[in-house]
Amino acid sequence: MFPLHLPTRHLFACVCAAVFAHGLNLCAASETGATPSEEIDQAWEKGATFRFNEANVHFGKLAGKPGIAERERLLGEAITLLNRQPRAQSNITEAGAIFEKLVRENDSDTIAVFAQYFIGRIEQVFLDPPNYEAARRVYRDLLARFPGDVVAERAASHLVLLDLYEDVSKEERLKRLASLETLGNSLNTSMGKREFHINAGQACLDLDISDEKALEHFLLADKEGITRWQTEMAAWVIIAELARTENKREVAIEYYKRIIAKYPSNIRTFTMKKRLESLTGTTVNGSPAPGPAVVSGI
Amino acid sequence: MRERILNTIGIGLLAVCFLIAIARIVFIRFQSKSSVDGSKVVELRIAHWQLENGPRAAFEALANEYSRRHPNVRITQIPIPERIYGNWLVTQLVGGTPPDLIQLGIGMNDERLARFFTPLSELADRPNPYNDGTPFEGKPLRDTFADGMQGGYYPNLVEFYGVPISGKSFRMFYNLDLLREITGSERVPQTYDELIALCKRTQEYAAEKHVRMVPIAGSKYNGGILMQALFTSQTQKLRERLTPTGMLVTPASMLADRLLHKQWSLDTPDAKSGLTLMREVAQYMQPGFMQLLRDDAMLLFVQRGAVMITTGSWDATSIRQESPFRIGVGSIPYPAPDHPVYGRFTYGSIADAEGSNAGTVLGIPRDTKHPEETRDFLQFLGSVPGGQIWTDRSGWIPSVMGTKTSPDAAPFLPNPNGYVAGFSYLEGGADVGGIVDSNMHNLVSSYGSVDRFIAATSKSYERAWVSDLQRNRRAQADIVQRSDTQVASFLWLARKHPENAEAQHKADIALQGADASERTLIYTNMVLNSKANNTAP
Repeated sequence: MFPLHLPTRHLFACVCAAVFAHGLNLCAASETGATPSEEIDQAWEKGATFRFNEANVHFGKLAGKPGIAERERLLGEAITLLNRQPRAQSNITEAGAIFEKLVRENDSDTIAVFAQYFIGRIEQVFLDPPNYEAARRVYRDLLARFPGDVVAERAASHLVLLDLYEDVSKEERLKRLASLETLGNSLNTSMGKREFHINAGQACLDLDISDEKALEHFLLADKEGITRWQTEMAAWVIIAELARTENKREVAIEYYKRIIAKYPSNIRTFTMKKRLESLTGTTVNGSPAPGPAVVSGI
Repeated sequence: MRERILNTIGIGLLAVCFLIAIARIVFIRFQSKSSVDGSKVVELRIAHWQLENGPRAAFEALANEYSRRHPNVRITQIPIPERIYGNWLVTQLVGGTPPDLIQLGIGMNDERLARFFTPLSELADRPNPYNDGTPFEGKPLRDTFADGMQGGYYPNLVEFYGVPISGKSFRMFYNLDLLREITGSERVPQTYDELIALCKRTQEYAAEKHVRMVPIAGSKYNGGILMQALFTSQTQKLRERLTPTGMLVTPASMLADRLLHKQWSLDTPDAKSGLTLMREVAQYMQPGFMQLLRDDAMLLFVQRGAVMITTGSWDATSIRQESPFRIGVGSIPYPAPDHPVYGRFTYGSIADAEGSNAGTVLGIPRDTKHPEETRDFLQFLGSVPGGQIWTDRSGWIPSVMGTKTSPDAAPFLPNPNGYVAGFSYLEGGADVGGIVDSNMHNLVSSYGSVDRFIAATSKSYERAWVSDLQRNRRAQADIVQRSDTQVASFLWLARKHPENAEAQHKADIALQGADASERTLIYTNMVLNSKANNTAP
């Protein structure tokens, strides 16, 4: 009745289904009615929401389409390829080659900044084992060539982590911190400065470099505006606590008050109230002595 | 002959089932198309794993009230057991047939959320029409929640994907009738010593009356809650000694570092004191409780086999409904700083956990057949009137401000007035948990002791922290790699559309989250490298 063997029939059915699904997909794609700019933005949005495979396929489909900027498309394809599942070394190599090509073609436009930044990121976080020295070289070059660029200035915060968390003596760390601080002073963007100072401040604490330096860096970070609440809360607590132990009473009081006002239900807030009370000698509203709040007979 | 009869019966049964199924489908179709005013009836399905009595009744009441306001909408609950919820949900999502509203949590991760669910930031920024006539009229939805709707915010995705409709906390539950029988009063323990005194008195009472009764209903789950809580009261000061000034919380990687550098161990006086507390309370639970499940402990309590049980606020309605006696509720009585034995290691009572005001988070799948109706129903659930029905009927803590907490829910309101907890002996991760679990009998059984537990555990404990740290490093590296693509995508969109404030904001938030992950990764790397090189950082 059907002139094919069972496995062949299954294969045939699969091929038919795949062709049908692909056809439907193509129809759907052409029916979206989006402009080229909107279409490529949709691909970026997929990348921004962790839908890397979909984003990568989307960027691929836009190849050769009229109105699509090829350099932007290639950049998106390479960036999403890094996280395409299943992850494969060949994907990393292919993405690296695209970034290199983009930089070779034009080493001074916005695309080049992103591409060079990712060449550094591949060396630092995608290669196994990583090549920190190569990453450092790329980052330093990026910072020198693109001052005032947000993406390029992200390199500064990565350099802080690479340089300070290396297994070296305390003296060497202090020397490196001083050198990094010079680099930090040359940063121009608010994001770049803030992330640099948060990383430097946290390193000062984690590595027991200097509480005074940690306080200085966290204050500078806060000056730039921390917009992620978890980071802000943690930074304010560190500032308040360090200011208290470093005898900067007014700063401590200011930050304790800020925490209590903005984060009244946080698990750390009760401790902050107690600290404020001990600094000012007054009782803070809403801080009764803790104890078992017992209610009977529900 | 016999075989033929059996086959006929089998085929007959099959045919009957088939006909019933067909009739049911036809009936549902007919029902869904019929309406009060002739318009098409929309059926919304809401999936959750809250099989406890209260929430199901609350969802029912909310559905009825919503249908009363919108006669063309009918709402059906799909309660799914926790154990299979994740697999069931993934099947529904991948198959493109998800319910319209889904409880988020089990089986969910960032990728699935982004792929299958609708971002709700735009909804969170809009006033909730169901709050008209309340003090929150005209205010953005997110500003009407006690936690700013953080329970529905997914920091890695920089988006709201859910609306939290309840809260949670841990409490001690008491059988007040038994308490009166045993002590002559209904006063529940206010201090740790009073708790122990009640336990001793209960044992005496059971012996006098020849009844099978234990002071505390235990299981691996319920006993674990109480024992861990007490342990963390003893590591408050130790945590502070191990952590740089200013960091009032200690990441697991830092605890691992300090452990590997011999700055603490289970033998450290503070930790040992925590283990002593654990052993002390364990003696008042039924023998072998670590082999028992949550349901076993609950059954023992509701059958008057125990005076107390420690569990979460989510069990309150079930306990209340299934217990033929009155219930008392109280916070866990921690040792106070002036306690003669345990006081020196503690600052005092512990604040209820951060984020405890966020529970039962509901999200809308992209494939819902009724996006508009579902959004509207979700707004109703997250409104003052909806929150009121929720807390009144479920007995759970409301997440919406402006609702009057029901008397049943009041004892469970999170109490922020307490100190930061110390760390748990389990904090390393799954391998640490496995080592502790497999040796717990050395601590809690009648033949066990703190020293015996420490001796049995110490060799493998440190190794387990290292293996957990290695696993955490892999997970963290994955997060950092994924964040790189995400942040770059956000940054590109922000650069391309400088006029779009939302794009700028999302890029900024994503970038800060990514950098926080990278700090964790580099610190974890440093700890593991220093372990490998056997050097201090």
